[in-house]
Amino acid sequence: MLTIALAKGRILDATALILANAGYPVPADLGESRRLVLEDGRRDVRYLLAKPVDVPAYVEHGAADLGIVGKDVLYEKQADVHELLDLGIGVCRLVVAGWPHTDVGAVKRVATKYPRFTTDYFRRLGRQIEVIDLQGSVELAPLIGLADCIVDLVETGRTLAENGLGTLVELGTVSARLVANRRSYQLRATEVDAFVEALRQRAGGAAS
Amino acid sequence: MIREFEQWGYQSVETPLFEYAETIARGLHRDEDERLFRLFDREGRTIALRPEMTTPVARVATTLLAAETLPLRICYCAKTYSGRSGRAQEPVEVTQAGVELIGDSGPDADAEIIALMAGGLRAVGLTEFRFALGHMGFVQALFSVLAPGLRTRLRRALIAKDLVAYDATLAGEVQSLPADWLASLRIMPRIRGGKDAIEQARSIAFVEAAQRACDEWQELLTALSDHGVEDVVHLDLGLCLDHEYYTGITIEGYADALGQPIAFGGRYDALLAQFGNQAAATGCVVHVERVLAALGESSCGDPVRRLYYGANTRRLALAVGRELRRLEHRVAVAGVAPESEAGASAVGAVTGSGTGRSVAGFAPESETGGSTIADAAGAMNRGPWAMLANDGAVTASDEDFAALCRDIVRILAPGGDLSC
Repeated sequence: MLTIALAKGRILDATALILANAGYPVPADLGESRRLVLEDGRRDVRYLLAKPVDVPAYVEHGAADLGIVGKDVLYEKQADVHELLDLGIGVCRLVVAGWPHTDVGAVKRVATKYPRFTTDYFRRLGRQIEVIDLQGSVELAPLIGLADCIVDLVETGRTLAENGLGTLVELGTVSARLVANRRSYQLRATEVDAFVEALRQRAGGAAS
Repeated sequence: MIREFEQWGYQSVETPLFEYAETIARGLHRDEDERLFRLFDREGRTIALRPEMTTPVARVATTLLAAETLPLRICYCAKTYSGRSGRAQEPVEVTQAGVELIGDSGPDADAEIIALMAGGLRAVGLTEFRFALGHMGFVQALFSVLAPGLRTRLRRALIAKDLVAYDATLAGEVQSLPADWLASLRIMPRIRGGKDAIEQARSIAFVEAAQRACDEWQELLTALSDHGVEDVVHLDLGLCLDHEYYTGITIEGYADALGQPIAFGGRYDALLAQFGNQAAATGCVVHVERVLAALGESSCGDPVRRLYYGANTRRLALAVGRELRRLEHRVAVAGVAPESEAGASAVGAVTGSGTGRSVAGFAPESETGGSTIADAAGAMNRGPWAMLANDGAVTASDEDFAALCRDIVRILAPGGDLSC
């Protein structure tokens, strides 16, 4: 049996859709359900519903054979896992945002949910900054003067706009990835490859 | 495990905990260089705690053992130190048990290393494990026709096991590479399996050197089959270990019970030349802590039997302890039993682990002031009291004493307590 860790929240609906299209239907009320483990005996898979930031840990330690999680989280956690497939869902832009006309080259304090990515980015710019590690509503930080700007994921940009903030620099796009535990990738290769192939056809179809 | 290594004719060596940083750097990848624990010796030279054993062993092999006849068979079990990478959840201190076979360039040597490692893992009780076999020569051959920048990016993606980045890099080269090369490169890291994987590898090997790697795989699998361990390996064409020194077959081992790999190894024919003595070499290490984690609870060996003595029975208890140890049982012999387990007033009870059996062994001696040892256990009807003189000396015949020890082993389950 394959155990697959799914990230709750932002990408869960799209994940459920892509799984269903690949022949692995999950219950419709996945998002509302309080259940943490769902079994599909017919297809011999089990789903774990985990907080996105925890998915890399479940997969790295082998508690789950596979996981579906955003590239943003993967980069931040630097988990030692196989990254097998770009599912092309949950696509978001990673941006530096703040008050309009902020000079990104001169900021000193940056609030973010992604301290690792932020530090790397500003280090490449040759800037030494103070990173303020927040867990949510990062937009609040520049509003009240806690930080000069933020590094955050943006889907539509509405939250930014409604608070008078704007995108300063586009850093890249992130999407959901299929990752595999190292042991499972080798020792359960047949099952893993079958699942990957089912999803690849689906993901390829979505992209074209 | 070391015993298994030695039975295969491998000689156990120890190397210094510190090496000159420049020595260690010969076998390192750039990222690992940053993770070294460095310090200075009295002359101000930089030394470092060894982060792995292959390079120190290569140094010893080329300098101290230069006079010996090749091939050399070396094994070790040693602590290694490396700072956290932030990537793998590695502890700073890792115990590595490994083997190196130096001076033999054929696939037979690689097969011996793998069969030996499989034997070692079985010797410590691990049953569900497998080795993935890659070949640096195959990967390098396919990459050799590519531009250096592209080669580096692809290699880095393989080491990071990031197939998304690997595919994206290739997708950017659609214009510059022949379609059949591109197709081969795309499929390459996804090929895993047994003999069929070699056929697939041949079908995409568009460079002569890659065909030679396939021949080596073929020979290796045949040799492993002769060793009787072909079922513990499979091929993984994309397996790319992040040590620069690997030149041929690469090995990564996995246990079913653990999410992380437990073993690493491969052929490193160029490393010894760096110490001024060209010789082919191959080897493999296991991370002992990970093997123990894979083994779980059963890894700690037999539980300890505990034997407690009173004022007059120390001599007997110690003699019994010696005999039990000679029979390779683990036994601790101590004074008065802890209050909770076999109280001072209670008759010494055997508390077998999980058996629920309670058999009185020897009677208490203290309160009553007597020196008799009552035999409450039917199994001990030979009368152990006859084995003690008034001064506590053991007077029993060898035969009776051996019988007593056998009885005690039977009554006193591993993990249990017995007072006398």
